[in-house]
Amino acid sequence: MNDTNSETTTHLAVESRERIGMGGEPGPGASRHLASCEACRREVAEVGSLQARFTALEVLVPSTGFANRVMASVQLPAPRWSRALDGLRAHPPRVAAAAATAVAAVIGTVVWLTTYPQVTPGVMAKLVYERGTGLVWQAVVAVGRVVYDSGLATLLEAFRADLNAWSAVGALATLTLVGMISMWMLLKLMEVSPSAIRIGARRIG
Amino acid sequence: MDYAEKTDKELVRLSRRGDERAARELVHRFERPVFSIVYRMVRDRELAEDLSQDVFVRTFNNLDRYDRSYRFSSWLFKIAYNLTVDHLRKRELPTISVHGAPDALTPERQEATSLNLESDEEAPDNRLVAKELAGELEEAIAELREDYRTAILLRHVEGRSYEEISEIMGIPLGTVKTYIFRARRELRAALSGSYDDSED
Repeated sequence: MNDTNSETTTHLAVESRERIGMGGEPGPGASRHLASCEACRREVAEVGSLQARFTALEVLVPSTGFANRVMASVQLPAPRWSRALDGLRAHPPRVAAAAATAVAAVIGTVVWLTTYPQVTPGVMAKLVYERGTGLVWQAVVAVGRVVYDSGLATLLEAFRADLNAWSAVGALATLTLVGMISMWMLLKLMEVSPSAIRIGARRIG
Repeated sequence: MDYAEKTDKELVRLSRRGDERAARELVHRFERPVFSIVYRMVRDRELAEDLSQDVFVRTFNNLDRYDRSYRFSSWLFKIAYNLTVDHLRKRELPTISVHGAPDALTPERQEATSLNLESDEEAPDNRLVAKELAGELEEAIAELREDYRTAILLRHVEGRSYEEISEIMGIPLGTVKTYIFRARRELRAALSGSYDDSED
């Protein structure tokens, strides 16, 4: 864009002309340009004139009680403490159980500390550290057991969901086969020949 | 706790936790600008109050959706703009014809959807509008297209940046510039007589 006064001058950017027209301070470069550019001066003056008219517009205010009407219609989330209380009220048995547990724990701790003063927290920490490996192993076994049980439960549930004569026969056959294979693999791992196992006095095989 | 000194974002955080006084402070802070822009869009005081009330109710009921990287006021104006434009577009459909909506097939339906052309003496609200939204500039603003009107009001009355107007109206930055440029040109044309007077 070329200025009307000179063939090489670039006009101020639209945003700059507007900012100055709306009351912003022009920088040194913009001031110099405005001094020499009639088109930019006119644009800045027009924006300024329009802005002055907008500023003089009447401030429109809603009627009295607007905020009250809004607040009456708004549903704010309940405050945290209120939600916590509501939660407690909603589950009285759980709250009672938790309270009883907390009271029992406090009383138990006091009794323990007065009865066995030698068992300090340090002693307890050492005990936990020494038994830690065993506890971790037990926890792993317990988790494995739960996973195994839940898998078996799912399998049984699947059979039950589609139970008829044929599925029952199929299920029994599958279980028998899986059981036999498992037993065989177990004995193989233990390096025991099935023929060597005796039940009571009778020899198998 | 002095709520008047808190920032908008702090008040929003407190409102989210159910602090009613914080929410009330937000309403107090923005009731005028929101009402002002909605009123100038619909030019009906009662309707503008209903829509503005709806704006605040929707805003507070959706506070959990507010993205804190934006200014709260921009989000509020966005809701106000969308709600008002939706209303204007819905209202335009059944009032295209003074003889009833285009889909009105029975005489009863035609009567129900036809325009009610009352005189100013019969409509006290219209007199109020005439008084409040009087003046050459208000009339020139009213003649603008609704998107030009929103853009120019946000720029010159609310002092919003082009980027904020773009966010509020959900349109590209270039379109905002075009709207404002055209709105100014139309206002200038409408006010040309008084411009000449003021410059003389």
